[in-house]
Amino acid sequence: MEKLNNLLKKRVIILDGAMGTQLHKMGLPPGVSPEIWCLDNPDILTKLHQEYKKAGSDIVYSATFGANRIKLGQSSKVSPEKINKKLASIAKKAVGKNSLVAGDIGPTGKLIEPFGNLKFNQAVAIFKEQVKGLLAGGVDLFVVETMIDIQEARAALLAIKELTDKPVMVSMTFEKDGFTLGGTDPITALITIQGMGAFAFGCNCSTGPEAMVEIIKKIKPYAKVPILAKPNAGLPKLRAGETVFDMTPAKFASFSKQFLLAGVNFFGGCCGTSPAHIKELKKNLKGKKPKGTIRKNLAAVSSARSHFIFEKNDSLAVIGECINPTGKKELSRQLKNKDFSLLRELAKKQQSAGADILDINIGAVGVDEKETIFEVVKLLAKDIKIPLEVDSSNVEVIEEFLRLYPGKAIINSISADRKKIKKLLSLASKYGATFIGLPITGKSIPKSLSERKKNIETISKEAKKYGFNRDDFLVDALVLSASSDSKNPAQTLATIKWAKKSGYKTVIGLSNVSFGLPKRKTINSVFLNLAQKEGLDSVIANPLSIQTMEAKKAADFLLAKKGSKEVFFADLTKKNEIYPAKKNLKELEEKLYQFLLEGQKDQIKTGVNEAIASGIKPYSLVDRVLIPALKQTGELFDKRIYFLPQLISTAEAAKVAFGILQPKLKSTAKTRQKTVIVLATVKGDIHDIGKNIVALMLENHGFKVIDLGKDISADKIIQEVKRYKAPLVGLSALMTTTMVKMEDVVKLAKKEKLGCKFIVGGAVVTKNYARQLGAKYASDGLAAVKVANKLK
Amino acid sequence: MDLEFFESINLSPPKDKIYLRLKYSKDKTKLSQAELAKFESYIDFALDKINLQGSAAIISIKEKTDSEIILEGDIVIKSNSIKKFLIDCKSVLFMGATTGSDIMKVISSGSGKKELEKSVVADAVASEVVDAALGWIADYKARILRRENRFITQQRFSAGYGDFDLSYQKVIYNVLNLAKLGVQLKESYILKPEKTVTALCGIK
Repeated sequence: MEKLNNLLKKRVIILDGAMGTQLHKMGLPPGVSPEIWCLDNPDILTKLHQEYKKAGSDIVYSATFGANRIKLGQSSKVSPEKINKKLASIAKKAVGKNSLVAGDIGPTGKLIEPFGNLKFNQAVAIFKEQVKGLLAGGVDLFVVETMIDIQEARAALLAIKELTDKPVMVSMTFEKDGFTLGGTDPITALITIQGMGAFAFGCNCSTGPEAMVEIIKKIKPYAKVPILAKPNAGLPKLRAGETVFDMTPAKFASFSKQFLLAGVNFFGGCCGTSPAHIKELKKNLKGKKPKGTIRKNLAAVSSARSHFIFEKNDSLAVIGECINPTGKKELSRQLKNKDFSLLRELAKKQQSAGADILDINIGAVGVDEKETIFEVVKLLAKDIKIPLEVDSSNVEVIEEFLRLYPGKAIINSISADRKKIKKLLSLASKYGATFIGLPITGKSIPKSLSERKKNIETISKEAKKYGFNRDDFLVDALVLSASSDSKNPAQTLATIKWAKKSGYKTVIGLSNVSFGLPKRKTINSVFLNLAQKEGLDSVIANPLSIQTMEAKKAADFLLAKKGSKEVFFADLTKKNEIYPAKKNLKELEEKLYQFLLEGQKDQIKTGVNEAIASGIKPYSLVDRVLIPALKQTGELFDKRIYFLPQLISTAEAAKVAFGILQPKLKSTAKTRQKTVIVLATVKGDIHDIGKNIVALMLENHGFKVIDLGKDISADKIIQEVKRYKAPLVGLSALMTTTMVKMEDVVKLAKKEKLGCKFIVGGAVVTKNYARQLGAKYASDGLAAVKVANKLK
Repeated sequence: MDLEFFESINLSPPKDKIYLRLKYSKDKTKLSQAELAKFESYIDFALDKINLQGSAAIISIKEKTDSEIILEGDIVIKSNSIKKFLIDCKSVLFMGATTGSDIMKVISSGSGKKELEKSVVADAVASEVVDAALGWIADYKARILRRENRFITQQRFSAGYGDFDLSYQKVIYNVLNLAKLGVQLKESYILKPEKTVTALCGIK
């Protein structure tokens, strides 16, 4: 380790190149386990390791990428442990003392819970078999590589760390869109993995050097650990049905300067690279000093799909407090019954309302917290994008949560209580969590600042032993109610001020301040703003409270916090710059016309009523506003200036307007006889969205629509045609198997000697098919209106 | 047979395809900021209601005759299109993906025509996302297979196309054990929730 650290200060450490693609060139047949084949061909494997060493690799990977129980499957009767030991020892023997061997652990090929059906602890156990073998084979360090699922990377890293202190490098595979296939971005992955104590983090495979260097640039500013890169030899190309990588060694190595500038510390090659690529790389990097790590501390949290970094001058972070059964009878009842519908709803609502992190507290009488938290993590890790905070006084519950959670969570909280502090800090360190430091020692809450300072320093000193610096966790500035002592709020503000000055990040539980007082929302908001002024970093509060959120955003803006201006003004930018104003309309008509074109359903009612109250006649509104607006919308849609939702939006708004005007038109006797059209999706077909659009359009264009719905038999359709004496029938079908049912309806109509005309449509229906039926074809709602107008 | 379930598929929503499906034209369609925010909120709402899950199974090809392909487990496929599609392939990758039923409630809310706009957007989102999920599964499997020097065909084939009869939906449904994901197969071979798709690829 010391040797590695010293070397890292001097130069980029050279890794090896591809194993799999090289072995295929050396005779490994397709579809055969490379690990088993290597056991049978140790000389070839030795030769490849030696070629990499000769080319300049400081570290070679053992040929154990797929040597786990799942991948080996039935192909071997030898235990994974023995296979790993043998392959590691071949590598060690091949490269001798001057090069290091990294025990290589690749994916199992299965998705792990909560994202797949392989149990997390089962995955850890499977990786442990590999780790034991690799340790017995004498590896110097470990590499967990080509991970596409953050949870699998966590499982492998935990398996190693539970058995040895040897350094572990973790590298993940990111797609062209910059995410893993599991949906994790590089910074999020870095935060989670470095939090768990990986020695280095980076990426391999998937992309060529061009794309990978961009990923390295993104993660370097947040890395507390050295960075690793192992790109493929360019992008894969398909030749004669096979994927090939054809970037030459010289071209590959020409990217080394960019990687150096981006901050790479370990550099090698993945698919398609060879000893020749490594040799060129070594040559190009000779004498070049790499960038060291930029960060010593990073207060950050992550989920599987997002992260939150507590940065200086950032807006206040909101930790949603609503998942807490205290005082919530229904939530308690549901949790007892393992019904998580309300919990899920609360989580989603808080996320939508702008919470940055969610606090999860499920402690209630009758709830088996340990068992339940497991189910809650499984659910929320999949459904909630923002990071989570576990809020419990039970150490076992916290461990259950942290073990399964595929991110870097917050522990709420760790106090200076001697009984728990060591255990909880060790859990935080092992699972890479951050925590809220609670400045109390026992049950009594210190009121004075001096006592609070003492407790915070005790926590900080102990945390340092587990690798946490004062910038790595949050200090709770302890909010006590102003109702019991009016000096309490001032003590909290003083604690925030001192903590910030001392280099800590801070948090408060907001609502305590107003406990027992009237006008709680106002007090909460004002106190929050005062705390923000003192530099508060985060607040545990109700993000569904509009007053709290508005106060927070306003203070962020007034204190010129990063990005706060855009957030504050986001709701105020409803300007419409597209719709052409129609000339010669009275002001109110003009307003209504705009509402229609903008599809502002909520404004229509007021618009119509205002127009009528001002003396505009209902028929005038129809003739001068509604019909022209619909006509213009149709034209805009035909020209593709409008897309489908805009067309529907206007149609829905017009329907609201017609609904108000209809009774008034009747009273003025200015109504026309409407043509009836029966609409249905045919028997066997349950898709009806297209038919619904047609119905809406026809209604707005003066047709009386009898919508029978979906999955309607020919008999029923004909029965209704007769009942309403409908001259027109519209039929819809989405599938080839159900389209044929249209014929049954047409035939039955003929048999019954009905003179009705048919309009057909739907995804699979064509003009030709319509012609065969003797019907007219309509491609969409507007086309249906045009056809119906011609037929009526 | 190697059957695997994906209990939560996380993918970047294919926004371009969603807008295209809604007849959006990059060059022509104009949206105000407020409208864009509204439709984006509809898309987000729809995405929030999607619980994307899937399963995949790799089955070896036992035999190819003039008229049929026989897979491990004595699954027989009689289709010239599939035979041609699976030329040079040694196994078949079956894939299925579903959005779950919550999104169907949003889509069918348009049946009363009260929220048609929202349901039309939800329909487009669900259709594109579930299709992208098949792509995700194919990518996931391709990545693993490539390390074994095995490759999957670039194209996918679904029942109901060419002479690969829709009735094979039943075979695929059973192979993928889609019932475990809450998917039902109706008499007319329609899968329910409706935003459920299946396909197969060849493995070379």
